[in-house]
Amino acid sequence: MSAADTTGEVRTTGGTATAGAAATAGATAAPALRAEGLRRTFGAFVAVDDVAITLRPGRVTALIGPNGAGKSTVINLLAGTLIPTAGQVRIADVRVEGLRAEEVALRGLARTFQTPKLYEGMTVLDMVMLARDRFGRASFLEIALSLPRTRRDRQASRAAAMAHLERVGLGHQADRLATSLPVGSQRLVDVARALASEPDVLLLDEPAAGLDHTETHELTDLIRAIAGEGLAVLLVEHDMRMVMSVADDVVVLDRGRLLAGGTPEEVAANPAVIEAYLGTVAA
Amino acid sequence: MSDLAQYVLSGLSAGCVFALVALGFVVVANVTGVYNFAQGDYVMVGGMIMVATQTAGWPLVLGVLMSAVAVALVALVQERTTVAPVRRRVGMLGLVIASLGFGIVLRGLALLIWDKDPLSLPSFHDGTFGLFGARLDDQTWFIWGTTLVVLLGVVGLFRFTITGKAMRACASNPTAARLLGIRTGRMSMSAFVLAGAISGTLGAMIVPVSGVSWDSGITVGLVGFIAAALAGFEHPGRAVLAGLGLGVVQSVGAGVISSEYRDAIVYMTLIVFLLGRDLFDADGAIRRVIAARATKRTRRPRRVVSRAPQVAVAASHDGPRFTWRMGVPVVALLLLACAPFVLESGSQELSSATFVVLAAIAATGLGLVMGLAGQFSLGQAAFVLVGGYTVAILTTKHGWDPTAALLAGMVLSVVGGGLIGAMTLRLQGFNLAIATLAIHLTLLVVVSQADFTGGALGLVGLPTLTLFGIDLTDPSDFYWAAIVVLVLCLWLARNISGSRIGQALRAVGQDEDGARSMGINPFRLKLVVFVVSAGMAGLAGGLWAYSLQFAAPANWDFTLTISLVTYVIVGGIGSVYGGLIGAVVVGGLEYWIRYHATSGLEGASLQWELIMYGLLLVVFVLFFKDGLARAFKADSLSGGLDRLRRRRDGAGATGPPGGDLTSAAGTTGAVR
Ligand SMILES: Nc1ncnc2c1ncn2[C@@H]1O[C@H](COP(=O)(O)OP(=O)(O)OP(=O)(O)O)[C@@H](O)[C@H]1O
Ligand SMILES: [Mg+2]
Repeated sequence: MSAADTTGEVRTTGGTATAGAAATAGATAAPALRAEGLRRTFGAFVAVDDVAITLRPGRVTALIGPNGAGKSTVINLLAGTLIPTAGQVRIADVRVEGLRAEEVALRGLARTFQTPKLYEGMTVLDMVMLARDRFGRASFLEIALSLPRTRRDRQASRAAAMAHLERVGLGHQADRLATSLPVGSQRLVDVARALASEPDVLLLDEPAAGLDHTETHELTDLIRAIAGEGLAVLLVEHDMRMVMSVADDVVVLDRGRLLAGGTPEEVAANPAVIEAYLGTVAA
Repeated sequence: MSDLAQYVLSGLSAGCVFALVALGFVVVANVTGVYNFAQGDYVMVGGMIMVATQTAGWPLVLGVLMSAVAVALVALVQERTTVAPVRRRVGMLGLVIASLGFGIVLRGLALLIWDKDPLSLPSFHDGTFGLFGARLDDQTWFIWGTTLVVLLGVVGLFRFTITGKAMRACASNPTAARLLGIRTGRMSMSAFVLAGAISGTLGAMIVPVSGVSWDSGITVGLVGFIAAALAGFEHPGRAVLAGLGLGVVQSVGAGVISSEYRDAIVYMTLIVFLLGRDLFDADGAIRRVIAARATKRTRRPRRVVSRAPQVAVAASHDGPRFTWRMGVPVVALLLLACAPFVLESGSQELSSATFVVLAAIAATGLGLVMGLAGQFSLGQAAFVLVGGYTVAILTTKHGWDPTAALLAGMVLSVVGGGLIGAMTLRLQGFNLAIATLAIHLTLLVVVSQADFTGGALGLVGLPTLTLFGIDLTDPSDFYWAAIVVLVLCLWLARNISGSRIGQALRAVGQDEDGARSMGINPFRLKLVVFVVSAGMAGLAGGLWAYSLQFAAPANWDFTLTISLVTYVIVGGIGSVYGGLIGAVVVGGLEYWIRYHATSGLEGASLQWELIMYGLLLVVFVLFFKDGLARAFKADSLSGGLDRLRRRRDGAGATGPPGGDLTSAAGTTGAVR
């Protein structure tokens, strides 16, 4: 087996101390993802307007805003699921707007969906293995002829997927059909799947919705650990307590436009933010 | 000048038919979201009924009325039986295939009732008239008039009436429409009835000009579909314009280039259109090249190497663990291989059995395309034809070695499949089906006209097959060779289906956005599967030519595509073995009908075969989606195989919790 062969076992977790260190270092590091002037319209409706976001390695950036503010749309624009009407997105200084989602994904971006994607007839492990698809080394011919490398690929993919599932605490559910899990666990499967593709940039769309108190706590730790490994994380979340405890930066979106940005403390004290939230749902 | 005027103006009459068929497609698609492939056959039925009424001495007006009403009724029956009861259970693909099946039943019934020969009628009004130097039959007025009235009526309906607006709302958002109190069921019924009445009327009008025969609906339907596709299935006006345009293109092409190639010219228009769209569309090649330039991607910085440190992979059970399920296909294939012991060598039965095996090879490929890639191809027989003719041309005209010619046929099919796939698989919908069908029909026109393919008589005098030095002159030996090829193809299909490619395609089939976000490229995977399928078809075609020892257009015409689609659907679209099971069961039944149910005259049983195929398609696609494979519980394209695999590979991940440590430590060597 060559050294490049894919196998399981995720990188060791950094722990909170390193995470903190990485975050401070990351404040000045080159951005992993930078978007400028993002705009997206649906017909006459402007869902996202002139949004700029910078994600740096080792830092968690929270994107908050009332329902319908355009947070998921921003994620879709960054990930290539939607094409921006205007604006630029760079990953590691390469422009990616206009590329298809799969091409953006192969450039090191992973995302979860607000409604977890589930595939009928697939187990939790199958679903996470999908994210390992790209690491398969066997060529199409080898696959068609079922040469040994195909099986090695599959075993490596399975082991890696399993490791990532264990990381989100779902190792024991690997063989269950994903559709039979409670929605909270489904979200965690999505997180495991995003991690399994070993991204540089991770976009999480409300990963804590549907999780109970302990699970939310574990997820918070997990996100911190992930950032500690040098990933740039964008977290869309309504749970302000979680945002406050995990985010290094907070960006506030309201009706498609940037309302405020800064450290969690600054944003929490910003009257415009409070107004925007109280104007819709009290948070 | 007057020549051109003649071509253009007479083209307009044919164009009116295409236009109104296209309009029918648009009306039904707008309201129900279904592409109704029986639309062309409506025109045929309308014409037949017109002939019947005139033979019975009815007045003209009554005849036309009768045609309209009768076809509207036929459409109503179709809607009530194959659309309404199953809309929510069966996907788009299923509904479209069911409409195809319904159309085939109509063709079979027409053949049964009105027989094979084309029928015609005198003009409604004797005489001709001059226009821009062209001389036209008075019947033209009736056709133009009908088209204009119908078009105005439909546009008015959609634009200005509440019913029309409600009908459109049904297609764009059925749930919302229902919440608004629109009765979607009734709207769907109205759409079918309307489309039926339009086609019936026009079918009656057109008989004096173009005649009518049981299969005249195929071309009309296809060209109408092309026109509707050009209009995006949305704009009635544009569909009509496209239909008229195609009629003119066809007629001018026939006059200026060659009348034999007139249909081929229309089909090539579609290919050019698809090609253009592939290049210039928002997602098209040219746009992507520009985007690539703009983003300065010279080399792809893809992350495809895992950063994770290497650890030992556990492999607990090595070697397959047999279950009785895995044995089913093996036993079935062994039984199939015994045919030469039962059937006399050189008998008609054995050659029929050989054709069943060859069809099973092509159907196995088609099954991958439909079941795994989720694409509908209506041109699998085109690749069979390419394989067959390549073999025939290379061996009879150029003296090639039989094995080399066989491989060349396969390679040509693969290349052709790659080109068609590259053009059509990027877009969703039924582009692949239409493009492959158009190419097949074009090829059929070409091979029955061109000299190098021997024209309608075809090429005869092929050598017997000597494959890699093994002489397969004896029909039994040939049969076994075909079985070996079939087994190889099934093995390939099984490997692909159970691989990460298979899993990724299943994910794409369920949620394309989700799959893409994981870096899965749907286009590439579909293309790969389509190319493999084309290769299988080409191989089957080559063998077919050797088995028949001649190549003629009728060997591999549209009927073969219908058969192959039916095999896959009846056998089970979700199973690797679906094509095989379907070929054996349905193909066997077909040959049984041919030998026993009728006097045995070749072709005399065609109507029964058509009716059988049509009914099987409708019934299976709507009510037994999993096909016969379900009954055999054969390896499923949708997960079953992978479950098996997992058990077999048995990585520590899914093994018993306690076994992890030991297996990780103990079996590392086995992996290396
Ligand atoms: N495909 C679409 N077509 C039309 N409008 C859309 C589409 N997607 C989103 N929108 C609109 O854009 C706005 C922003 O939606 P988005 O889903 O981004 O909000 P969000 O901030 O994620 O809200 P939530 O907190 O509820 O998830 C909403 O008004 C939504 O209706
Ligand atoms: Mg959202």
